[in-house]
Amino acid sequence: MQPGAALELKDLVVGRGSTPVAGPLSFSLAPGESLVITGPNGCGKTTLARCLAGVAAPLAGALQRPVNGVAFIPQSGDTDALVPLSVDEVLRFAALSSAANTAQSAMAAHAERAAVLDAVGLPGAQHRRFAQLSGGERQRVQIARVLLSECPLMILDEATSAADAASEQMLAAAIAAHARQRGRMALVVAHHPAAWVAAGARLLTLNARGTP
Amino acid sequence: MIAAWLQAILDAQLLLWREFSPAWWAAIVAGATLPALGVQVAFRGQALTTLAIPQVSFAAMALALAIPGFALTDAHEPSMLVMLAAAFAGALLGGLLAGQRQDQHAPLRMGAVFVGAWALTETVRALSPVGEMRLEPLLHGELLGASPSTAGLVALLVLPCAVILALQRRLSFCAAFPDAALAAGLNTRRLERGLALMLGAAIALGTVTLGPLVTAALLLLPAALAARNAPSAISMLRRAMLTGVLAALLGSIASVLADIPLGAAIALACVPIGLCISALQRR
Repeated sequence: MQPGAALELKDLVVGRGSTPVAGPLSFSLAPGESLVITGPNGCGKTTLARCLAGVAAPLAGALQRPVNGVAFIPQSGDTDALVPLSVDEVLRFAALSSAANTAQSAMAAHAERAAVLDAVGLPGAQHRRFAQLSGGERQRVQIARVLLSECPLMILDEATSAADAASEQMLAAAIAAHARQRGRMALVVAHHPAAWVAAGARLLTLNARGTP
Repeated sequence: MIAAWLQAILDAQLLLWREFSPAWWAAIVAGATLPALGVQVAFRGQALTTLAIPQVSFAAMALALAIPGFALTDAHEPSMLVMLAAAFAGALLGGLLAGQRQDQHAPLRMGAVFVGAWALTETVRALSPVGEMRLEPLLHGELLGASPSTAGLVALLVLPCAVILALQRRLSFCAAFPDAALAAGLNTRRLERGLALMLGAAIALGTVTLGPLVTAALLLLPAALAARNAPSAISMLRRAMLTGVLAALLGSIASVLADIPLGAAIALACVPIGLCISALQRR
């Protein structure tokens, strides 16, 4: 399949090494849509998310991804505390994607970063140290990074797992609304999909064998 | 009387500066550039690799000097080009021995490479009197006799440093969130290989001109000290570079006044300067 505007999977099988863990899976996601994937531990949700993000290769099947990269939040283990980042520096990484808007002035970019932090419930946190935030706050910063990115596809792997129920509801609504308004796609892996479904996301439940 | 006394000190300093200026310039350039590379090493937790690679590079230089008719010219002077090539080959070999995999055995592997290269250096030095004579000053970091051509070679360190500074944000993204950087469309493998190449070139240049002690010290100490309570990655980079430059200046003065090797003086000066900068920034 050729890269285009939508995400499309046909009989996709993903695995760890050469061992299949999920699939075959077939579904598509159009601009403006959100999809939440849920299922028991070990059913291959994270492996699927990594494959759709382009971090791992599929074992079989066809995958069409939008061009210009993917705004991806991996599971929390990806964060490396050896790099002493400020919140603002994490947000600035959004401008490094291949879809970044390079014409924006520094002042406008700064204002946009502040506004997105506001939207995820972390007003004025730009100069705080990323490593010193709580798990939930770090997840909000990562969500802000993804929202700031211009990539057409956002993939969030358990990106609200440390949030309380009310915060998860607020974040799910903000992300789904952002996808609708900007014509972006949001693919979310979550153990508790209710907040996402309430925000208008489609639901895909995988069984223990990694099939729908 | 005080004015005359100050004038005498100033005159003495100017005289010293004129006498040792290539060495001091070399120290200042190294102090400004190597810590910038060391910061990226610190972001990747590869301190042991950075300790081992200069040692392998130095072992390769020792081997080159020990082979009859290879690195020594007819005038029994080492050919700088051959020495640089040997040092770079050693740095690449060290990088290959380190491997790209940062698994649980990586520190053990690097420790073994460091000790192995050290033992090889000592053996080759014992077998080659010419090498012994040429390598001894580098081992101690005795820079004060540096010629203008040595200072010129050190100035080449600006090139890998400029490349790393230009890619600083991309490299930090790769180090902090490798999967997210790859998904965003960054060629993380090419960036990491580019960093390794620049580091290898800087280590080779540093080992040939400054010696393994100064090279490893300026790569590791300023970055390690700057990492203490650094509020951001860019702040850590600035602190590390400032520490390196000030350590080069202070170490140069201390080396002349106390008659100690310049390299050791620079390495030791990093510690109080780094701690002071860290304390000042915290206040």
